[in-house]
Amino acid sequence: MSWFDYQDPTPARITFDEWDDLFQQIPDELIDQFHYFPPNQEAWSKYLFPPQVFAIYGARHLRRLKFDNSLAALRLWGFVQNEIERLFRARQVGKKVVAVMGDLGPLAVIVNSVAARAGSSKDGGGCVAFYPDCWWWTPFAMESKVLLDKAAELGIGDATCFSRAALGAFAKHSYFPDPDLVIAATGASCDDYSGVESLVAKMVPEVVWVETPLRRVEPEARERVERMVVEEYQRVLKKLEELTGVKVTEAMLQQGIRRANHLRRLTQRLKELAYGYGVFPALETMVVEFGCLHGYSDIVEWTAIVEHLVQTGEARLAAGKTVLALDSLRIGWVTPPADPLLLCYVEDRGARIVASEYVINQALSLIDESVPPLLGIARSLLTGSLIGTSRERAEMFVTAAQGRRAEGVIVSGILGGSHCAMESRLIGDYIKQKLDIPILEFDVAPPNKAIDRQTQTRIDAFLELVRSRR
Amino acid sequence: MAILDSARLESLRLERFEELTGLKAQGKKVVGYFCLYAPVEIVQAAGAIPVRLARADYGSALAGERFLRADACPFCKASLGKFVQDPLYQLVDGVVIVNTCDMMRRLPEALTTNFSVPVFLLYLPRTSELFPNRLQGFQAGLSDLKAWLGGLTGQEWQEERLLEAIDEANQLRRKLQELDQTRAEMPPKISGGELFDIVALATLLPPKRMLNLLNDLLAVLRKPAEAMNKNRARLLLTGSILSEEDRTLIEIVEEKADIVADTVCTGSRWFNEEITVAEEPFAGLARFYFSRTPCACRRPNTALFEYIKQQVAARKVQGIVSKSLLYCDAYRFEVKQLRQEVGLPVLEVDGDYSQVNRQQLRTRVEAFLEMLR
Repeated sequence: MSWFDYQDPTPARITFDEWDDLFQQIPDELIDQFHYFPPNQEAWSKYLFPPQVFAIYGARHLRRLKFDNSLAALRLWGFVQNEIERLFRARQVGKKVVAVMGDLGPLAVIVNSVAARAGSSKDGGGCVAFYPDCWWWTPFAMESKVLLDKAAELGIGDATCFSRAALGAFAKHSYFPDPDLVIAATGASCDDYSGVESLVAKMVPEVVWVETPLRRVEPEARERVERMVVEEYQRVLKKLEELTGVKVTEAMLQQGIRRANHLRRLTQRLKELAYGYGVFPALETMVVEFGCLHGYSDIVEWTAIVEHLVQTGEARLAAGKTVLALDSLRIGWVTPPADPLLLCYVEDRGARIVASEYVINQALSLIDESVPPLLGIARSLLTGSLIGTSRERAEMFVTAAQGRRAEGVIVSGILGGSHCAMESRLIGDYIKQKLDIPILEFDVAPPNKAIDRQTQTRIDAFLELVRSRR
Repeated sequence: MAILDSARLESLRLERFEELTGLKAQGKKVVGYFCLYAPVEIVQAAGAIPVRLARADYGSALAGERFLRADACPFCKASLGKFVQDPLYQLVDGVVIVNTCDMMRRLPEALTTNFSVPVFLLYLPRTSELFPNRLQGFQAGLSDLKAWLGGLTGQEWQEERLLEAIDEANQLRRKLQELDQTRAEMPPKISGGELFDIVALATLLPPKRMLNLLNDLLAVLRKPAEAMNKNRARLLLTGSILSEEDRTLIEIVEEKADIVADTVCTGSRWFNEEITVAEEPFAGLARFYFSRTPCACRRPNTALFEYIKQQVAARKVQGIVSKSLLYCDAYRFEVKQLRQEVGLPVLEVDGDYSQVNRQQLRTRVEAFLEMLR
């Protein structure tokens, strides 16, 4: 049986318990088809499990969320939740585990381009890039402050972005294998995370520091900045070659870029299906957006999952079936990643997300394939959300929000997040000036079992206001 | 006894403010800057007058909350507030900002949006390893700054003025180093607070006038003076930028101890190194500013810790006071590392410019000093 033959139920957002019931109806032979690190088919590499399994292993937040009820979405969740196992397994099968930090996208394209060594097993060799940055949601998913407390012990306390969880994860040596190499980008990005990198550098044997310069738009300055980034990347390549013993060829990089672009195009289409036609909820859409960073440590299988999601979305669109009502309130969201619980809450109250800016534009923009590979990757970095002005970031969002006729915008930040403190008001003011629609600005609270009443009330009032303007 | 009492300081500041007002009326341009990575020599060579904008207090920080969130850097908030409240800030024709941290990098937008002040954002690589591409990128930024300043002043660039400015700046730094050495003596001849005040003055007065003043002060210090208490604890002050109006901690500490060294950017890091002009001036400037004893925000920042350790050894430091501004990630995050690396007791203080905890702070400082006995 192929997953093509599997019939998804009528599209809906379902609870954790409903998902468990639904999982029982999926045939075993279908479950057996999905493996990470393809093309291997070993029993150890299955990842399609019900959400219950991950909740038992600590992802308790899942019990409070709502999910899309398609098989593709279940694949997504199984795969994303399985990343820790996958990273440890990568080490076991001979891959080099490379932590890339602070640039959210471009460095992973380079690392993932490093092919397996000649003569290595079909599962082994090559590199796996992962972003410890992404462990920042672990405290939310686990409803536990363990990683945040560890970070505080190490000197990064409460008045800092939740990305400090990555420091706790490094210190605990159990959330991912100790990396074979750490590559850390810093510069025109995020200070909180730069601080995390600084302390991580004191824990690991070596860090390759990569400069992330400020975006410049004047032609001559732009070229200068691009050249500078290319040279930073050349140093990274040299390190990767030393690490793996593999000469990284232009062909390898081109293949890596093609793969990344394919995934980014799929992601663009999925966003269009979700934001334009309501065929997917915001939560899965956000998870897909973030998948462009590094493919959750297995870009090949992740791409297959996103293809499955897109096909599911296209089929829903063709059948005129949506998950969210098309007359839902159309809301845009600007934030570091939104709290999954908040995304669900907004949708439960008759709204849907139609535009998003999650500070990862550099992982979503297509890499120019007509120029030398490192230059193409450098240019993709320079489209980054955070490395230009707040105005530029707001402009990017305004274009998307206008295109989708957003009726209101939520700007959520993080207390102590260095760029949030400076950006939120500038971005909010600019959006208000350009779109003349209600703006709600608030900070995401620390990991909790529920949304605090104050935030709930503010969201409710905001949605009432948006509705009243219809 | 203070070598430069507060009344004299205030009159020097006022005189200079009036002088700047007059110069501005004659068409001279005043360029403000916040950070020690801003190359004042280029500003001077372009025919503008550099003035460091490092005043910040609680009132101005509150005023700044009209433009930024409450959890923004207190110095950034106060800087915006000063543009509302402080005549010196209102005098500037342009501002040079260096992207030392996330908050500073975003300050230009807040300034231009709310005050229509022209701003040049100089990109200093946050990575501190001296690779050619980084140095070239930074040097190109200095050339852009030169062009921007030319547009502001309307003056023709003269290379000899740059060499002159570099020479003056080096003389000034050397003289301040000489003055700073008197802090290292046993007992110190000047207090930490006095040194910070003098450095602040050096960022306001023209270099030649400041050199004359420093010569006078050093002459006073060379005369025999009444013996000071030798048995006070010798401390090093480190941490975030310490504004000219934020003297509470220093005052409390120096009631019972001596701040004989510091690594603060408004203190000794402003003058602790000199520019080598053995190469083309812009290349020399780029190398100097890129390689200065790093701010904690540079990566890696090991050279900052080396500098601290060197100061501790050379000046027989017994304890460290680390003052971080609220939300100043660059310095707050490194305190634990500081304890480990230096192996001395560290008093960690953080806050904004509020005075409400003054007595609490006094109690903490006194307890810390008792521990050092």
